Amino acid sequence: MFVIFVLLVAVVLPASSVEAHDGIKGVGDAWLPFTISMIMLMVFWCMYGIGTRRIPSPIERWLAFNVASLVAVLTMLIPLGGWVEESSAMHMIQHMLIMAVIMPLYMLARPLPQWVAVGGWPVVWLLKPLLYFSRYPMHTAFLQGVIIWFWHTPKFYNLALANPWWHLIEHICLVLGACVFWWSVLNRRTAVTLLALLFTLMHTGMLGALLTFAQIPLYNDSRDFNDQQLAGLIMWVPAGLPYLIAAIWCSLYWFRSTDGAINFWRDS
Amino acid sequence: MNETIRKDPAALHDDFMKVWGNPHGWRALTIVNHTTIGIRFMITGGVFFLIGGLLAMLMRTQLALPQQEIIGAELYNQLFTMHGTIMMFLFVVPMLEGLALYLIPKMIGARDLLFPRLSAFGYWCYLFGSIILLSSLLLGIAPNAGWFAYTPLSNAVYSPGPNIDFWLLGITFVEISAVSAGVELVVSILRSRSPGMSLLQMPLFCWYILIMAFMIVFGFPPLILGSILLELERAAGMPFFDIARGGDPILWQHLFWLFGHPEVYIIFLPAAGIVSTLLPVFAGRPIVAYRWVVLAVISTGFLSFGLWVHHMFAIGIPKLAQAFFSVASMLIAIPTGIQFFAWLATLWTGRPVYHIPMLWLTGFLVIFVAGGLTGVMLAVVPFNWQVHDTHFVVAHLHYVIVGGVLFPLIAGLYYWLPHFSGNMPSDKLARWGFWLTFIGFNTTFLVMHLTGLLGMPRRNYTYDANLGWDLPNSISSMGGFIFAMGIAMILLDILLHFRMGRQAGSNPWHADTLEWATSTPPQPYNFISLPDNPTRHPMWRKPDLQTSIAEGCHTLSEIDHGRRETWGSDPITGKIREIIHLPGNSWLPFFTALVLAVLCISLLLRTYDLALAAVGISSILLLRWSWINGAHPGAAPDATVVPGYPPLHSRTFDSPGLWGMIVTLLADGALFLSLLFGWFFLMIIAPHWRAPEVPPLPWLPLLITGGVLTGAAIWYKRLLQRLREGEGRRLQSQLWGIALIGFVHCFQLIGIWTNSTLTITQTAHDAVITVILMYLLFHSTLAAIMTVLQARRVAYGYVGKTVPYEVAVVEPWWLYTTSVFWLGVAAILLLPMAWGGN
Repeated sequence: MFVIFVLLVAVVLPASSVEAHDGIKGVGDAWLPFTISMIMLMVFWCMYGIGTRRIPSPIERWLAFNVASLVAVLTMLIPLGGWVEESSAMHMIQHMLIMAVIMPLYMLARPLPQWVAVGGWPVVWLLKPLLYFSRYPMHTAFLQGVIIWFWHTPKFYNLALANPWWHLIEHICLVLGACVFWWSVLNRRTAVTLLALLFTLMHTGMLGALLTFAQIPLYNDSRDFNDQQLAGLIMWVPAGLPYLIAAIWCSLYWFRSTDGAINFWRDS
Repeated sequence: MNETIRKDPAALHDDFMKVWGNPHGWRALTIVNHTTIGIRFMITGGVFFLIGGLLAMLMRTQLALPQQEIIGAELYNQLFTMHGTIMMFLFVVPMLEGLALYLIPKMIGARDLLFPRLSAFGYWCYLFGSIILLSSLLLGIAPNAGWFAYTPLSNAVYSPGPNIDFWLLGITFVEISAVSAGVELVVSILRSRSPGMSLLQMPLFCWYILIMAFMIVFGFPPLILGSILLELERAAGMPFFDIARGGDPILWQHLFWLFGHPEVYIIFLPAAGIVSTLLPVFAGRPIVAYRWVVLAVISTGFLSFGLWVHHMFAIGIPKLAQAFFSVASMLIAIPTGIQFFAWLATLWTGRPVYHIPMLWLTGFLVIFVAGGLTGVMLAVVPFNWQVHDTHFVVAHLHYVIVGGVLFPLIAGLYYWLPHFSGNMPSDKLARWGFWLTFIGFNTTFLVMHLTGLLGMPRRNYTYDANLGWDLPNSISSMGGFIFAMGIAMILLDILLHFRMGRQAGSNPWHADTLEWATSTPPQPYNFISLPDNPTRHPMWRKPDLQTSIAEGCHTLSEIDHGRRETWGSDPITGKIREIIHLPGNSWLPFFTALVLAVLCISLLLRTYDLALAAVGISSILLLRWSWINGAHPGAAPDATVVPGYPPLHSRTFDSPGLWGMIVTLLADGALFLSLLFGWFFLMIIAPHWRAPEVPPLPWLPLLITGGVLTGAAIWYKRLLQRLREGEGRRLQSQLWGIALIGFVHCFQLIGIWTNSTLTITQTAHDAVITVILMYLLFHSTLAAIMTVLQARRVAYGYVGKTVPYEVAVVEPWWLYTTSVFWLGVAAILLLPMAWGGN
């Protein structure tokens, strides 16, 4: 269920921007995935609601899930105005929302028990590889890094702009990358998570710096130079904040979990 | 497990000194003990502080009156460059490192740092590097391009002499010392705390130093890389920063400030750590909001890596970027504010006593707040432009650094003086010292704000009369001399207190931390027995700790095996995991550093034969160094342990060596990341970037040789896996096999390189690729050599099923080498195709 849910988000969000690309000029083939994904998001949102009746979830998790879903819907709806299509900066805000706001909120919500309660064992079976991989925060940080850099090279970025289906794949990659990254970072009480966060902060900052200082237009959706610089700066500065907050959050949790370690002598 | 048998302290002391004692005479050069090394660092740093101060006095004399010709323009350039360089690289950082090296083991209840030879090596590198740098001043060819050596001024066209080479090579040499101290401090703090000291029970000073050490590990590599690239450009003509050939001088600024901004916090954090240690002691209560302070320190570390651009407001970066970073710069006020309020609350709720160190802390609070406020002003871009390159900036940075670092440092010096010497300083002299310094400092630099606002540019050797700058300059110069008198007074006090100071006794300030449980002055072994330590304030809980430690009432007080030992503990909980045995005194660090100094000098003189010989000899020395390790009789003469104790670290898989390797690789990774950043930066941003039509390196051979390397790494991983499962057969032959494959890979890589059409002096494109290739080749070669070493050690019986830890130490290197190979290949071959796709 969880995987389906992840896939759902993956489908919904890109579809929305797909919509945006053809949105105003012609509804065309992008309309279909958009509608389907919107319905799916709604369905899964409802399923979580049903799940919480069977397995109640703490209020903060419940809130996290619903806020994330709300933001997801908004992220889908914004492009309907066609802004993303015409602005790298808006596009970057969309990516940032997906990777650094929606996904960590979903991971904080830990909807797994609720999904499993409704969806049953296939969910667990589908989920195992992801869970296995997410044991290593640094590995997931590397994976996410490769995904981010790959899709922000002009060739593939522009490819995704030109073809709705590539755009779909782009966003699936981003969602999956962010999913395993945040899952491993937010659920692991080790100091390595801080390293993974610092690494991510650094390399996204470097990518942002490159976009900010670039002397040539890189992306086909840039309105002008300012727009491209703004896109880079959004990735560099505000998009760094969630990682910083996550670092503080992880440290706080980590403090709490190590506080009781008074019984110190070796257990032998 | 605690023993309660009391032993005779004098007899125990004698036994311990047989193992831990320091030699005298020439052999004092072999000492690796952290107390000695820390003091050497601090004394050397103090000498450089005086030299740097002297240069400042010369400059103030020159500027005291308009149109003086005491010092010419050229010498003035050298003076301000050397003043900044000495103060930043040769005084503040080594001084704070020295203090940390001295204090950390004592605070966490260990007997020494975990890599004692590395601390000695770091010291010698620092000493020789700084002597080389300073000799340029005597020869009249000192660096003269500012302490940040911006290109193009510092390139071979505009600075043809050897001046800048001194800066680049000397600083790189000193930075090796900083990074090695960083690695050592991280691993020691994480792995050698006394039984039961969990991370959250560490004294706050240790937290500050831990974060500082991590920041050194991540922050210094960009500058090391930058220096290497600039030196390659100057010596070999490889154009990294030359616009015409596809480079970009702005890249230097990025690399410099990528280091330079964290550097500000690298020096501020330990100073703040001193404040957080001293204030509670003099307020007589634990610090308020310990955890919030820790959080603030961690987030400062994070933030400092994102804000480097605000040092570059005036170089023509996009206006939008200036707006973003202007706002983002304000963020740092949050963690700094948390610490300030924690300090104020501690004072408020405690009963502060105003001993000398407190006087300096009060001075710190006042001056640093003022410096912080002018910092907020400078973060506002229009104002920044207005005062850019004027004396206002000079005044601001002195308020921050003198107020934020020097004042706490002197507070700390006075606080730990009884610990260093066993004597108390004189109250009267100390008060004179403080007030002279405080008044002198403010007279100099408060007025200098005005001079800057009146428009006087910095870095000019003189100025015309009647521009309104005459009076403030005279006042500043007078203030400078009062400042100098204050420093002289402190120096006098310190010198006199060795002779005339009254005995301090134990714990004169009623401090809470464990360093006061040693004898004063401390013995090389610190503690005869190592106490359990499940509290943040051991000395407040058990005031008799010093006696019970000296009587051997706690653990690890056996010494008949002749090993230097300390506890190896869990990085988080502080549970005991193993006994770490430490190497003893050795000539190797001294001679290795000496040979590296020869290398440095030969590079300065451009005698490359000598340089090559020095590289050869130093590698032999380093290999010898790693040979005396683990089960080698020189490292652990007797491997028996008392029943009930955990095993020796060399008999486990999780040794401090492994941690050292991983932290070193983090620094290495930061260097590689900076190199990739440079590659992308030039590719996207350099105005005249030229890339050839065909890929510079052939695809297929690279894939094949990458496959070979990956095969070797996987084999190594499996070998270690087997060893973990207790399967150690054919270990030696397998290691030989892996090494052989590694060498095959190296030769393939060399073949690819020599057959390529790279013209390193023509384009930045080819030059960067060459550097990446050199980097990869270095790592592969070292991987193969280390594996050969392992195979030989198996033959000698130093490595094997029962002594497996070194095999585990080398493994991360293989994995890292493989990763950077593929990343490098992807960056060279794949990414240009993807970027060129629009």
